[in-house]
Amino acid sequence: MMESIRHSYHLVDPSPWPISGSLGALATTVGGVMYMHPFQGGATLLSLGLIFLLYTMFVWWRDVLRESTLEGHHTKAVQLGPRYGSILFIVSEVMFLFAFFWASSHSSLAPTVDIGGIWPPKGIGVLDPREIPFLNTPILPSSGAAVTWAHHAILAGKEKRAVYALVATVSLALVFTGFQGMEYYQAPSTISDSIYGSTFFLATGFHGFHVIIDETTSTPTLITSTLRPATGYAVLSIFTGMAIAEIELDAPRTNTVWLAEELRKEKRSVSLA
Amino acid sequence: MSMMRSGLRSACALLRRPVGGAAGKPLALNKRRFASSAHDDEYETAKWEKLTYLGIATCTILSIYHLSRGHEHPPEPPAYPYLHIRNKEFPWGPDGLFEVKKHDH
Repeated sequence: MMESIRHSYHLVDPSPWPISGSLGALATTVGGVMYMHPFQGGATLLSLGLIFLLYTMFVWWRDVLRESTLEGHHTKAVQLGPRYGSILFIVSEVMFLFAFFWASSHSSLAPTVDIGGIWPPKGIGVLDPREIPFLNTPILPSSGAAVTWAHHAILAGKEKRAVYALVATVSLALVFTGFQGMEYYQAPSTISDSIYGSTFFLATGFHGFHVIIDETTSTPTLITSTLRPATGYAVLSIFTGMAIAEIELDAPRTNTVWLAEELRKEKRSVSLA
Repeated sequence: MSMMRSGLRSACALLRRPVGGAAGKPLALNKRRFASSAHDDEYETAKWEKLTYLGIATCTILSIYHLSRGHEHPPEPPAYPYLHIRNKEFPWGPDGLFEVKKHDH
């Protein structure tokens, strides 16, 4: 069979995982809506859907690893696929966050009568930009530096250094989300406090969610690389394929979004004073 | 359709053809391919490792400073209609996430 292949593309075998993933996603969304509106069995359906999704992720990525290590399907041409995918994802995320910034600017430039005609609305406590925001701002670029270190270490063939660098990346991301959680918990306003709370917590919350997804996808990579070096190297190389696009595009981007967020806070506290 | 495809293919081939490159040497080889590295990776690894340590040191100092200062609790604002909006009850009870808990349940 292998002799007849005259191209560098990976024509995949039939697999049950796309349909099982779709069913899991359907159960998760329907269950989620049922849970939010207190329907009977909503929480059960939501949990089942999430378990189904997690199971699909596990077995699908296990198959991908086998296709990479045992069958050697991940040629240069194949590696381009996830790279384009990551780029498209980041581009869509930039547009997504741009819309939130637009909503915030729209509401703040001409505050409506309903919120007292001023921005921030009266009664909204604004976070001090010299506290946790000032601390979290250098944490993100440090995490970006660590992931760039990982990137070059992988390309230089220094697998051990790459693992150390990824440990540093994930740890910094964890510290970031930890401080972010602390800030949310201590914040004088919540998402249910006027358009200020809605736009602020939606934008920063989605950014935090992105960082949490980065943490949860990098952690299995790290564990595999440490426990099973042979498979681990394959995971690392798949990770490079997908992550390089993310590293090069995303680290500066998330940081820019974050800095813009800080500037908005700064502006607000100035206008409040 | 097939005509369009073959037209596209020849257009791509034209683009790929070495223009002005050295004799017999395709231009693509000299160019940086997308995201793969064009630098000395040994040097870059060492540089970014140092930068990471610098970042970690800065963040550690800032964190210690921040955590040692503590924080203040702002006064409760008056019940303006645009604050604390509730259109329906949360599935988990009356208190929102990240809110000071007011109900014993």
